[in-house]
Amino acid sequence: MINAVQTPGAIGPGSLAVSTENLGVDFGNFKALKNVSVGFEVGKIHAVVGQNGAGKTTFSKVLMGLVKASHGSLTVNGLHPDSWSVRQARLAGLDMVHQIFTMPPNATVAEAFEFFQSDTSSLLPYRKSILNLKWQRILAEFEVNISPEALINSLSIEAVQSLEIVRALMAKTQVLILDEPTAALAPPESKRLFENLRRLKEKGITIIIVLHKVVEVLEIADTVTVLRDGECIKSAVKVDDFDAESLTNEIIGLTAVVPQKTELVRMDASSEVVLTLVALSTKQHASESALASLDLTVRPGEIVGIAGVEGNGQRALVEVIMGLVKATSGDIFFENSRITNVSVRARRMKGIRVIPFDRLTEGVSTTKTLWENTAAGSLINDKRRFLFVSPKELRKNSEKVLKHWQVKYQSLDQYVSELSGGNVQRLIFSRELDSGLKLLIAAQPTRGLDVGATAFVHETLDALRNSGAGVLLVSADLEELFALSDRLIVLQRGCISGSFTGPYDRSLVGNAMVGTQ
Amino acid sequence: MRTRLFYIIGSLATVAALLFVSGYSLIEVGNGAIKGAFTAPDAWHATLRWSTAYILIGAGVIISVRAGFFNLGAQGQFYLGSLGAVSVSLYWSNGPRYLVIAMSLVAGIVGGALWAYVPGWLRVKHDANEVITTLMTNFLAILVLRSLSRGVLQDDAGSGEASSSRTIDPSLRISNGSGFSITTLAISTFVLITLWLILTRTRFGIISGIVGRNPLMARWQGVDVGDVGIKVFLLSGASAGLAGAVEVLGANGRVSSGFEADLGMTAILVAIVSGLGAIGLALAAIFFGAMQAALLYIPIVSDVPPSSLQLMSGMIALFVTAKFAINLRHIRKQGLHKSGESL
Repeated sequence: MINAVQTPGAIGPGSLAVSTENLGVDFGNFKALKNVSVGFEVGKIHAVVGQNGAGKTTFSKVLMGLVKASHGSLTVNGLHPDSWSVRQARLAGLDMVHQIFTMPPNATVAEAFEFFQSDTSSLLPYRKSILNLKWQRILAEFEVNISPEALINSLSIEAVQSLEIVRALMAKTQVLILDEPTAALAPPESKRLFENLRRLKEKGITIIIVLHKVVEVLEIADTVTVLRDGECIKSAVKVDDFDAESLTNEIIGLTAVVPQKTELVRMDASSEVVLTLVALSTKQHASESALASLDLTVRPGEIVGIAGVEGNGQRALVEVIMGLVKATSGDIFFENSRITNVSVRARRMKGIRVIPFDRLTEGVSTTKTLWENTAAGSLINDKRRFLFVSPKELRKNSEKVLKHWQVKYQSLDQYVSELSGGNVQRLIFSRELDSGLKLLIAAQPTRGLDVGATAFVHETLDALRNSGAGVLLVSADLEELFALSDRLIVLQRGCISGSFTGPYDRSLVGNAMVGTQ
Repeated sequence: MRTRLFYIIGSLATVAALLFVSGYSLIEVGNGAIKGAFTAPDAWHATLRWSTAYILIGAGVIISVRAGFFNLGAQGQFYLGSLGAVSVSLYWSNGPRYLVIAMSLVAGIVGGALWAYVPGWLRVKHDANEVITTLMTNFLAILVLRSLSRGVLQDDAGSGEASSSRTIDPSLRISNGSGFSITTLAISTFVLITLWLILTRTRFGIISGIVGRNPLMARWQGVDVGDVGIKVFLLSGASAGLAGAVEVLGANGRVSSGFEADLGMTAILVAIVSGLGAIGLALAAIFFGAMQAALLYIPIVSDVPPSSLQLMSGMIALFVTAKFAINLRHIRKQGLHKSGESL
């Protein structure tokens, strides 16, 4: 137990930057990590993978001193600290980029760095121009091309993330930990991130990166560490030893069947249309493209996939169909009736349902109970507007649908915040996929979900389509779109830049996403 | 619940320590307080008289805060309600007695609701921060009350200096000067039951609770959040207005410049201590009612300054709002809404 890992005299290639021995974390009775022993070599990119709840984030937080280990030991740069905190981790040259960003949204880039990330007193007077020049120089050193005058909340997720990486690297960081950095990025953005990480690696920085997707691991990592239910299944093994299938097997313990759409059951051209958008436009917002005269139809019994680099009008599309934002021109028809100006409630009563982009803020109220979250849909959109309701009956119904959708929970009075991501998504499906559904708008329905939960979502969408409902699937995951979509539409700057039917050609679709029109 | 109890006990202990250090006899003060609130003749009447006012105003505060709209305008809505009631009672004093009483109550409800509608509308249509607008409408209401009670409503029998209205006809009073009667008790019970039904047994109650926690999710589910906002402002104004009417028809019998000036803010405190539920409201209202009754009684039996008991409600307010503010920050951090609240 006592530091069986070697303690090298000098830090250099081949020695271990960070290693753990029998590391365990208990949260009460729950063992989040069990006896994890792993060593990360200096100057390499180390992936940590596993399903949701496997302990990846906990593991990275232990390294960073954010979570205390219950037992086991940690060795950093050959040293063997008795106690470990964020401060000590930073002093030892570790830093972390979290899933949730820490930059103040209403500050400019320069202000954010100057006042929130360095030791400068925020009480001293300063000149904006001098500040901007200073940070422009520093950002340039890190090869980040972002104006120091830009407001943080006007930047894309990718841009803020690159700023977070700069922040982490500023303090002469030797070991950079990234917690699921690709979860919120579109594929081309992930590619650019990976290029940056490779550049950092060449400079000798050790990178520990928590990832979800097998393909990304194979693309970027030198070694892979697989966690399953808190146990270390593979400990910093060379990535070359794996292919996609064998690595997937290690992660979930059995072969995951990713549904491949081999035959396409398409409705004939004469069949009715459930949703029609005619020359639809929306108002421009800061960070997202608006829709510019978009035409689109969805027929019953088909899945229409929407691909595109993030921020090219996907959010505007979903929100305008749901009635959350107004169309500036054009029309929306649902089963031949014009719904351009009707309320969200009226649209839902006609049979439109939605899986929102952000399940924890748009999909559920995390500080409300399970039964209230489940009952919300029927409570709000019931055609009968009786004044009084029976909580007992609502709870009984909630219990029924939660059971049916196999949501794992302890009590109906539990807050939704206590559920895992996959279970929250199941809850949302249980609420949205009621008998009145005719059209489902699924916005990034598998984002951040593990392999098992993703398969559940895919099966559900496919079953829905086969039962005759229309599905509009917005996703950043091309594999998912290829596997599920009957037709695929690519958005670029709020316009359709490509329209495809299977079998899909990755390079053609990719070109429509990022190429010039 | 346990933490709120802790605040109350903590505040009691602190005030007791202060009194002890200042050389007062704790036993004397404690005796005085218990006598004033519970054991002296008619002490229960005094306690329940204040509880009634807190329940009526607090019910509306609970409805609005639960829905995420922080209506601090109870005092102003209370004044407008009292003006509505006193106007009907004075200018229609020869009408059928019960009808006039009923219409005075209705006028109070309408006056309070209309006064609350203004900041509600500003909030929903123009995104004006309701904390600021409701506080400002309070000051406006004080001026309206002063000008009317010195103007058309002024009692000419009194000295020209006094700014209070004529007293309503005794036959229209629903209680004597003590402010307690079966009628006022019935009104507060009715309001409590209505509040309980709204919060736990109606669509509106459950949905507005979700809106208060996460308006974004509610919008995606098809809730018209602005519509909910207008309704909760109207409801909370109506209940504060009803309280104003009950004060006019009951304890006061008239309005005067700046009367019952602490009632609105204390009732907001009661609502927050109640944990935003009907049963909690009943308990908190009785507790604060007892404190108010004790406060008025203590100077009779002891030389302890009454402000020492006021200090106590101030301390409870400090404890509770500190926790409230922390929760508020937590909710806002999630980036949900400008006025998301929770307890």
